[in-house]
Amino acid sequence: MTRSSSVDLDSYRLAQYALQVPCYICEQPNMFDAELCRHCFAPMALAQQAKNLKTEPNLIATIGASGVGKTVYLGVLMDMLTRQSDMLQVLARGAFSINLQQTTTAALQRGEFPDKTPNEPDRWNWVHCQIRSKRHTRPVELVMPDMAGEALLEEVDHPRTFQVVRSFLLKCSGAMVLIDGAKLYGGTVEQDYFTMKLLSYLIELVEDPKHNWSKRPVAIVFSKADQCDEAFDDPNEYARRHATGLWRFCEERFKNHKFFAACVAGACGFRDTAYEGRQTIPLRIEPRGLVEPFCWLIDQMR
Amino acid sequence: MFAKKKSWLIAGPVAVAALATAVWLAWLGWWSGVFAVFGIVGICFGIAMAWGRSPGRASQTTEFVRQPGPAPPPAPASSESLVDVMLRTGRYGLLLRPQIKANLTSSQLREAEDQLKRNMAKIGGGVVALGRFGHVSQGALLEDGRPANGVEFCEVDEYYIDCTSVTNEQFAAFVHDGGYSDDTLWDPEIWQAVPDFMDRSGHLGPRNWENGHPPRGEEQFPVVGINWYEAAAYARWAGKRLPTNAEWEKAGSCPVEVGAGTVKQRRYPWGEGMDRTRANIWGSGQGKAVAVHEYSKGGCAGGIMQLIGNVWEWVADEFHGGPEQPGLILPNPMRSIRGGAFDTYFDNQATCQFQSGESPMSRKHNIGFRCVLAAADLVAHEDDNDDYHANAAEDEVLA
Repeated sequence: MTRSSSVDLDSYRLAQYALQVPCYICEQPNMFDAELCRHCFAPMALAQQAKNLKTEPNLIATIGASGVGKTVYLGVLMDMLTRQSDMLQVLARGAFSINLQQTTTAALQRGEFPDKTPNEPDRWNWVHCQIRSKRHTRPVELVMPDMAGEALLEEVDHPRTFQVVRSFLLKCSGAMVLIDGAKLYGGTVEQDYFTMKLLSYLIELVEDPKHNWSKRPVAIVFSKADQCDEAFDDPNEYARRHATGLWRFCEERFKNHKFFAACVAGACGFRDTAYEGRQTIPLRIEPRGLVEPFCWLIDQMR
Repeated sequence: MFAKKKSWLIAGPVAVAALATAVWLAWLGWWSGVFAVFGIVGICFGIAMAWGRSPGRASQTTEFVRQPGPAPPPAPASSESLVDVMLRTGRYGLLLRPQIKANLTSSQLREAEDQLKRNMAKIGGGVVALGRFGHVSQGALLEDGRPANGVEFCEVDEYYIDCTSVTNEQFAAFVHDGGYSDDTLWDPEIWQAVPDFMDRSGHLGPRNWENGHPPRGEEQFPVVGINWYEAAAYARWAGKRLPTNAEWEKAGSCPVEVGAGTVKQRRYPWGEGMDRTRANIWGSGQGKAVAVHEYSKGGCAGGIMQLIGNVWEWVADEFHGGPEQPGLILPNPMRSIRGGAFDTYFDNQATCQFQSGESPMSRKHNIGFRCVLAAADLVAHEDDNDDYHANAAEDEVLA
């Protein structure tokens, strides 16, 4: 006696496995169903989405020292542009693109700052969005990761430690470099040095003189400027006075740069916690100067 | 300068003519010539003095002595005009004090009372549960006097509160009246720092002003760029003071006693939910402060406008964190600010209950203030029957 049974034909699946998909960031081959690139840990969804788009996405880097406020800046910026803005409108592509603003605003609404971005690139939040503005007819596709400050420092000090950082910065169209304005105001020069190291790394990154970073737009943003109001009055003058080394470096090496000031919290306090010691907490959220550097970058990229 | 030159134009030719006459008379006789010279010089002097003192010349003489910077108000010529100047600059709070009332004429007193009614709302005395909304009950007290349920009830006496934040125009009257130079208006601990409270052009005044004047077209906007001490000094100059946390919160949350030891308080002056057409916060889309009479839909009983949104408001109390910020440690002493501002991002930070803090020396772009007057400090107003509690209760019934 014989019995009939149905067996799925998986040959199409085998064919898909045979065809490798390149990562959008590092361009290394990956399996078609990989969630993250096995080489740089960037989300493979970026590659899938880019494949279906008519225009190639632009990459913008948000970089700066650890604790300078990159996550808060990016998270609130995305939330502001998603909710309302006369200048630009942001439409997220993919659920993963909303994670950053969701976690950031949820923490701020609880009266806390979001947790520090972990060093492991597979745990970073990435944003892929479409930018529309009244001034420009064609929308812009944009990819921005929230990179950990310590990973950036590690890559700057020991190049090729973090492949994703290097690959991303190579392909970037522009960058927002964050510096803790309050620390500069307090006379701490550490921020100045770290930012100069970071900018030196960018300058040396691309060898081709036609496409190196000296011609790409760089917005240098003094974060936490609520504690140094004069940064808002004249950011360039503030840079000249409080970050002289950085100001000179930018004047000499970056042809297309501009200084800005921004803050998210109106004032801050502290709270002692059992496990993490003394934590800084925002007393109120009143974003100021966040959109301007981003708009400037978008304009420069066009 | 013009006034001085013109008097010499008259006196000069007259003196020359007098000299010529004297010489002519000298031919006739020595003594008669001397008398003639003295007589004519005396007449010239009299004419010159009379010219200088004529009423039409007064303003030109004032112009001559005017110093650069903001123009001071004209000096009052008598006690009556001093009162008029005070009324014109909104200092009715001082005039209505029992000690000063006796010096006012009936029309001046009426004008001062009218200004009080127009510009301030009367809030009845009663209790307010700090930092809470909805139905709030007073719990039992612990041995140390603290409430067991953590709800702090505050008893507030009857008072008047400004219907709007202090405007640039109102603050300009204080600046031009020499408020920054009057030591009696300032706390002694701040005397040394007062000369540093300058505007963009180096004149004494709010941080965002220029040449001692507010930005053009923003006269009716709330004054900002002033620190806590500047706000307190203005309040003293106007015969008022900054509100306490309890007074500010009572004005907005309209507490109504619904049972023994239980009050019902609103989260916003208009109800329990944020309505962005009633307050200027980030979500309203203005992106900047507006004039104090806008967003009138967000006003509460008694005509108090913009308690929520537009600009934060300094209050008298020190900031130690609200109920939603337990265990808060501050980097430096702070004063409370209330109500949220045009750039307040989250709706739950622009409520009648939420309070934030700011260093008393900060001169931020989004912090202003309004003043209060204790009813007990004023003369009795028997005809004043706009009872705030009655209005609040009526609103509650309608709701």
